[in-house]
Amino acid sequence: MIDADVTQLTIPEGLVGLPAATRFAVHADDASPIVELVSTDVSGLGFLASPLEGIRPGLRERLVELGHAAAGEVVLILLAVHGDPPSVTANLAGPIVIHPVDRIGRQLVLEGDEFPLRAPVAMLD
Amino acid sequence: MLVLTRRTGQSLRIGDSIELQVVRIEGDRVVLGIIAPPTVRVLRGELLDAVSAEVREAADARARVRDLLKPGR
Repeated sequence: MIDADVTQLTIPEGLVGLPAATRFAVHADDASPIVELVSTDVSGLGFLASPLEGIRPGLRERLVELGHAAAGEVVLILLAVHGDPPSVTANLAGPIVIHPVDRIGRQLVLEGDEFPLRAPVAMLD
Repeated sequence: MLVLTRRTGQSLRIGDSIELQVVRIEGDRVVLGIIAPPTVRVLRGELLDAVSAEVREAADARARVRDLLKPGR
């Protein structure tokens, strides 16, 4: 989990499809599993995200095993809403991997059934 | 766009470090082999498009996500 005092995140390559969105203010609350990322490059752009371990326990270790993330890195998952009735989904195909010290991140694009684009989110721990 | 014709087993080079080879052709599917440095991200175009679209969906959904995850719902 990102500490509550970490307020800036840099993704040098931007998000997938949004290359201009490289810097974010991170609004985290230790009492909530939800993190808000607010772009400081693109006005009005923001996301809600959650640490991967709260969505799919064990999948972060799988990313490490596959070489997509280092052991100490934080993995955030962007949340969206789909379906009727609407429900929250997690973009496991595009996780954001963040170095916890320098706060520099990168968005991965992952193939395979383990990493669905719209994984249902029942609840967040 | 540069358009080239290749046969099975033939390849093409992109720059100094990327090689694309036609492994086989199965009906309307072409099986490609790619040799590239690990730092080069090779992705299916439609997957990249789908993740990009989902990122934009997430950007539009902030308020609705917050509402759906409110305690007591």
